[in-house]
Amino acid sequence: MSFEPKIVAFLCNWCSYTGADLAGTSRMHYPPNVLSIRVNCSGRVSPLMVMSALTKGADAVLICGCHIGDCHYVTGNWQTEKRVPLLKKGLESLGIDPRRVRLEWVSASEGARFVEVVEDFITEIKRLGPNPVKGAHHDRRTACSL
Amino acid sequence: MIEELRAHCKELLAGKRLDSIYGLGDQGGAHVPRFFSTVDELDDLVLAGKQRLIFTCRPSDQNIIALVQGQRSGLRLGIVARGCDERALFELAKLSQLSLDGVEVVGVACDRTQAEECRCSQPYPQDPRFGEKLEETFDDPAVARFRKMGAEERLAFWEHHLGKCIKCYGCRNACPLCFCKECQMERELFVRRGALPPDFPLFHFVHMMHLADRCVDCGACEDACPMDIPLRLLKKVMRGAVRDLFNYEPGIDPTRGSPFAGIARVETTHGD
Amino acid sequence: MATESVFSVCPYCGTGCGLYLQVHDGQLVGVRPAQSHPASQGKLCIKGWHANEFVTSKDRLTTPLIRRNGKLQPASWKEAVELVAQKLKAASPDHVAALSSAKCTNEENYLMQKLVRAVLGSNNVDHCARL
Repeated sequence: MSFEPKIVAFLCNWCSYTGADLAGTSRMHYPPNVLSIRVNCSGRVSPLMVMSALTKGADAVLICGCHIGDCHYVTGNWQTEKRVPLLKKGLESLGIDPRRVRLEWVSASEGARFVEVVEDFITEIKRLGPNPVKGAHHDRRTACSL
Repeated sequence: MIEELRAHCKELLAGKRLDSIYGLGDQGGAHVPRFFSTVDELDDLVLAGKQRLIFTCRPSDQNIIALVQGQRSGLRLGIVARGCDERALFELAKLSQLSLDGVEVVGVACDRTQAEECRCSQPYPQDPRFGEKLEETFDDPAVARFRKMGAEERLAFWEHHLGKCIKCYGCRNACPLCFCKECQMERELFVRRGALPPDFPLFHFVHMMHLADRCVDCGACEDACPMDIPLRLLKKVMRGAVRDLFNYEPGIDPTRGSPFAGIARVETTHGD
Repeated sequence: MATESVFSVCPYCGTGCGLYLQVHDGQLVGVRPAQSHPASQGKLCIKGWHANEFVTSKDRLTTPLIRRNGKLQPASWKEAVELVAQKLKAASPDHVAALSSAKCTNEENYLMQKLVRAVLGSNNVDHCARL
């Protein structure tokens, strides 16, 4: 059985979640590897949430937000734009492939683009293989447990 | 140099230019941070290698300077600061954790022995009154070795080192820039209670991400670690990332805030 | 305005790490490790780092408490001591245990174990550091 990546996607409510929804209502098919989590804004996504996902079973994390200039909260996606490159450097410094986190701007009308992004990401993660730290949170390496 | 430093500080106090001076004092052979309020007390002023001046009081989460400033308004305080002390002061002032009003920095540059032992990025304050600025880099060879490691080697490296952690929170408690009342390193959602070693790598990931734009490279974290985890290496790498991405270095410019401090759009200098 | 660094030894376990109690104008404001201590060498465990907090904790008891009707209620020292003495006298040695504390002095801990072993005739005495 070949590797099927598990991808957690944080989708902003106003643009990208709606875009993904459009893909669904338009009956566009895309692989079932994505677990969508709706957030009110991509700026809500903290690097800690991303790492949390990566250590609790995710092979990769996709973050989608509104295009720059279109954020429903005006400045939210500016924060995402600053954070994700730093987050990737953090992953890289720990030895986790930074390509396992991807930031894409997807608008509410871009159902097809959402599908494209997802399919491309899945292909890339299949090539990278399973995430070496995906089980870290549940690892029973604990020396002591209270 | 110590005699000249003491004489200068005595002059500042005697001439009533300052109410008190904060620096390291000799206490039966140990070097402890203290306030000097009289000229005679300054005979005990010392400069020592590893003892840092700025720290956060617990459980109030207030740093020591803010504590005294809160008690006495209009306080004129001198601080005998080395490079790392001054950087911590500047960062804390930018983060509204203390005021630089009424604060006069008596800058002391580190000598070669200290600079080589400590290996920080800038072993001198902006304007040292004592000591010579050593402009060369004192890079830690460990950083260069680390940068050459591939991903697999890095992961194994950190799994080994971070796996030694006993979750003493010494790194967090010793850090002059850590003062959050609700520290995310204590949050059950990210870090399970009662599990040792702490969940890899979230426990240390919180610290390195949250300090990326405020670490002043003082080394207090690594000095406090009982398990000899190369924490400073992680921080140095993140500081380098912030420098590369945003052309920003914490503690250097007291007027320039972190790119993460406000909601303004700040474009990265390199592509993602 | 005086900050004192009072050298002390962590009360929690037998390692005896050296630390400085940060005292500012008579108030305990924090703890710092003692850099040149031979046993601890400038390090502390999580208990040591927070060794000062119990002193000014708002959770500290201010009066004895007696459980009545399932609820802990304030009582006088007289009431409390008499109740404890009465219950201890009534119990057989094997049905008594005592738990002492790192926040007590060595002398107080010594007295506790002497009371339990010599007076009550029980071996069941322990200390919070073992938890």
